[in-house]
Amino acid sequence: MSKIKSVKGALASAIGVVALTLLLLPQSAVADIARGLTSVEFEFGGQVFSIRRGADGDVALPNRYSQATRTCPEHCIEPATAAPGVATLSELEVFTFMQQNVSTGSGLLVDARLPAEFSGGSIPGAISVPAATLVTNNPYREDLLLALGAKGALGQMDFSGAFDLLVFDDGPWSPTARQAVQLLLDAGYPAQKILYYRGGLQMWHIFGLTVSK
Amino acid sequence: MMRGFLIFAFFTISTLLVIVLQPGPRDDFAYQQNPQALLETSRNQMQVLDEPREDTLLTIPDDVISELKAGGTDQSVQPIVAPEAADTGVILNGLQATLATPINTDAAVSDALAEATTVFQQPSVQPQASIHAIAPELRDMSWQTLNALNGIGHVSKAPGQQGSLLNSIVRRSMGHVDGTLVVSAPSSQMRVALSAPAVAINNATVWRQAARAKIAANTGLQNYTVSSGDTLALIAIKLYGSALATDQLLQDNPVLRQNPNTLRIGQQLNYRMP
Repeated sequence: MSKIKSVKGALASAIGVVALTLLLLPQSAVADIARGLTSVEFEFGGQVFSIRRGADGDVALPNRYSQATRTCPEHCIEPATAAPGVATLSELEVFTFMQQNVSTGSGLLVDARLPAEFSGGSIPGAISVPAATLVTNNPYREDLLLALGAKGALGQMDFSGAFDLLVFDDGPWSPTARQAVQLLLDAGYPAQKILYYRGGLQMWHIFGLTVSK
Repeated sequence: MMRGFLIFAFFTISTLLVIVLQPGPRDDFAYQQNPQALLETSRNQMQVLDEPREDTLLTIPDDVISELKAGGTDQSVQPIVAPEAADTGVILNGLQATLATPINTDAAVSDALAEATTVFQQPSVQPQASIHAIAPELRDMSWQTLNALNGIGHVSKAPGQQGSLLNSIVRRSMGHVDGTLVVSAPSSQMRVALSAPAVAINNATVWRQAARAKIAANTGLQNYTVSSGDTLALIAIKLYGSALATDQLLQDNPVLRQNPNTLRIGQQLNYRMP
C-alpha cells in the first residue's frame, strides 16, 4: 500500500516537473545580442540603462522604419563615412562605446534629429542635439559647443576636454547625422572625437533593441 | 489515499510553479527610464519642453499677422552668413527650410515678438546675430539642448558659468544694460582703447566711467547700473543667474558690504563675469 503511494507521489512530481518545463519555454522571448551576450548595461547621467534584444516581445516595426520605398534626393542612401577622419561604428562597437566612454563620462550619444522625433523614442541614454542648432547663424551655437566641453571663444576654441560624440539619426537613409557631423567639423570639433553610427534607429529597431521613450 | 495523492500533487506543482516562474514585476520595470526626466526643473534650468508656442502668437496684433500671411509665401529664408563651401550652403538651406518659419527681420514683427518674449527687452537692431532674428523653434531647440547638456555635469553647472543656459541668455541680453556689449576680454580691451580719446577730462563722471572701463579691462570687473526696481537679489539673478550670488556682488562692491541699504538708482556696481 505505502509502496504504491510513494510510486504515485513520485509519478505526480515527475508529471509536475515536465509540465512546468513545457510551460517555461514560451516565456523567454529575449534573444541574445551576441554569443553569450544578453544585455548591455551602461550608466549615464546617474541612470543605469540596460539594452536588450527583443525585450518587448512580438512588437511590429514602427511605420516609419518599415518603409522600403524611399526616394532620393530627400532620403538618399548615405555613404559609409560621414566625413574624412570620422569613424563609422556598427552596433557592437556602439555597445563598446556605451560601456567604455559613456559610462566613464567622456562620451555622449547624440541624436541629431529634431526634438519631436527624439521624443518619439531614441537610443537609451542619448541626448538631443538637433543638427539645425549647429548652423553658423545660430547665436547659441557657441554656448552649445561650450556645453559640449569646449573652452574659449568662438574661432579659437580648445576641444581637448570635449566629449566624444557618437552621432546618429533615423538611419542610413537620413542625411541628418552626416550634416551634423559636417557642421561639428566646421565649428572646429576634432574629427577623432566624432563617431558616426550609420545604422541609426532603423537598424536599432530592426534588431529589436531597447528604445527609450 | 487518492485524496492524499491529489493534495500532494497539487501542492508540489503549485510550489514548483511559483519558484520557477516567479510571477512578479517584469524585468523591464527595473530599467524603465523616467519619462519625466527631461521635464525636471531646478532653480537654474528653464522648462522649455512644456512651453506652448501658441501663447506667444496670441499677443501678435492682427495687422502683423495679416502682414505675415501676405508676405509668407514668397519669403525665402536667407542665411545671415554666406556659406563657405557648396556643401554647407546646401545644408544650411535644407536645414532652415525644415524649420518652416521664415526668419523675419522686419522691425514691426520683431517688436511684436519682443513683447511676447517673456523676460528680456532687447533693441531691435544689434551688430551681431540678434536673438530676435532667429526662428523661435531654433531658439527653443538650442535651449532644450543646453538644458539637457547642463544636466550631465561635465561643465560646471553653477549659474552664470560659461556654458550654462542662464549664462547664455544673460550674456545675449546684456546689450541694453550698460550701453556696452558684454563680450570676452579681447574685445572689451579694444573698446577701452577706442573710447579713451573721446573722454573729456574735465567731466568727472565721464572720467570715472573711463577709469572703470580701464579697471574692467585689467581686472575683469565690469559695470552694472542700478535701475529702478532693482534689489540686490534681483541684480544677482540678472548677472549670475542665481540669488545666491549676492555675496559675490557684495565681495566685488566693498561700499555695499558695509551697508547694503545704500543701493541707489543709477549707482554703478562692479561685477565679475565668471
